[in-house]
Amino acid sequence: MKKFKMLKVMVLVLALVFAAGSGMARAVDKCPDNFVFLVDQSGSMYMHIVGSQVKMAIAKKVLLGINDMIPDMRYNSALQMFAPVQTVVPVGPYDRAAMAKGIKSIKEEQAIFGRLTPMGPGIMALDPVLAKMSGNTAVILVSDGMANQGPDPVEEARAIYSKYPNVCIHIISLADASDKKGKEILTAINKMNTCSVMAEGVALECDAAAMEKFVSSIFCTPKKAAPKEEVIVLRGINFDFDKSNIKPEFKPVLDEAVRILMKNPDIRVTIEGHTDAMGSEAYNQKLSERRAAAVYDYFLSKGVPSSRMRSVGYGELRPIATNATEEGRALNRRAELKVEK
Amino acid sequence: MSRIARRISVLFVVFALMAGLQAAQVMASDDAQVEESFVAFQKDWMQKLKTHGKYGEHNAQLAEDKEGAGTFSAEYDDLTEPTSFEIKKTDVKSTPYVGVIHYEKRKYSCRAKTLEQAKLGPYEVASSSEVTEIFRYSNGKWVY
Repeated sequence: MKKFKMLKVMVLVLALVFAAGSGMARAVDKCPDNFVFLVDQSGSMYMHIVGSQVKMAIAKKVLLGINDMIPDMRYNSALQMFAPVQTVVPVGPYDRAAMAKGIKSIKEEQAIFGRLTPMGPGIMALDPVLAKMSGNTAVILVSDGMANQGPDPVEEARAIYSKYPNVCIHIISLADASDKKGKEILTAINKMNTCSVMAEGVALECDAAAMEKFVSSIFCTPKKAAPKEEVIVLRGINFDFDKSNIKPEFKPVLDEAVRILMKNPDIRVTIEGHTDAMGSEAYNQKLSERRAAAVYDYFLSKGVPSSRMRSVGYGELRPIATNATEEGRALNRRAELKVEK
Repeated sequence: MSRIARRISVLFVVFALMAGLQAAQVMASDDAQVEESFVAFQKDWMQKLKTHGKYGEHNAQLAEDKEGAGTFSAEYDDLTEPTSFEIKKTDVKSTPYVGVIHYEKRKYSCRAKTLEQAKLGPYEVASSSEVTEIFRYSNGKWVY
């Protein structure tokens, strides 16, 4: 019985160790702040895909198409090649035109034979690139997967994931039917992380919808620009206890607000009265209404048309600070002008 | 006018100019001091807002979305540093200056499938307000 219990514990420990070391990357389901095009320029990439063009020609067309579709947001980007390692566009703020120029500069012809594919080292060479990027990074690997030199590219990808958990490696495969090993390698890298998207380069080249889907799976659609409100906060309008009369020392602050309103004749404002939480809610509600009305009357007396203003009291219901401290309560005691355009 | 009278008048004008210059220097010195105090006040003010106010990711409010099916939102407000300020002299003895600070208040939001994921972010700016705060200077200090 004791031996069986020991065995169960050992199995559990082994399972935990295996799970920890299995290299299964956590999904990065967040918008990328950076992206890297990582393009294989080994000899096999200058061969023809069966019944189609030279793989590198397809790669360039696809990358140019993707580059055109990338949503208009701020990124850092880079264009790296491997076999041999080459920086075409160094890490820096993304510039669509500069990236297009970099893609177009990729050689259309290179020697095929005698140019092996150190794909593992090519993926390793991502390390200094990724080290310059913070936040989430999408790596778009364009390759036929034909690794035939150096360390295992799948293990190198696993090492990248281990060091950079906010990276996701997406695949554009240019492996054709005969490139069985290449397909296996690319598929293994794709399956390493649930965030990874994989597509056939040939399909992306001829199907705009497929390319759009690929891009939208990797990049986030930019949201509409956040609307901007305007608010003017009047400070130092320290009414006496239970009072709402405007004292002479308040007038310069109110006059400055009047000046802003006169300078911007298109705006309308809601004058809001706010209190701290001392006293009952009902009392504070009434007090804030009286005080907002006092500010309204002052503005009216200074020539601001009634059509451009209204007053409202919010009592203690909209605090901007804690009411547990005197400082917090002082911050809550305020009049605000919310601008409506 | 006699020579002596002329000389006295000239001396009088010179002294008046000197007195005026000195007064102007004193006023400029006051203005400079007030400006210096407002610069320091701004820093304290923003710190006060952040310390006592409900700002920052640690104050994120979590809620289940009403619109989306099965999604949750995390939101918090935060303040930028002042983008500009102005000081203006007034003709009110009890409040000889007003000071104006401009900054932005931003609402950050993250939507996700679970509360925990929403809280983790990443947050994006959902909306922002241009804030203008007007203070008065009274009895040697900025009043709020």
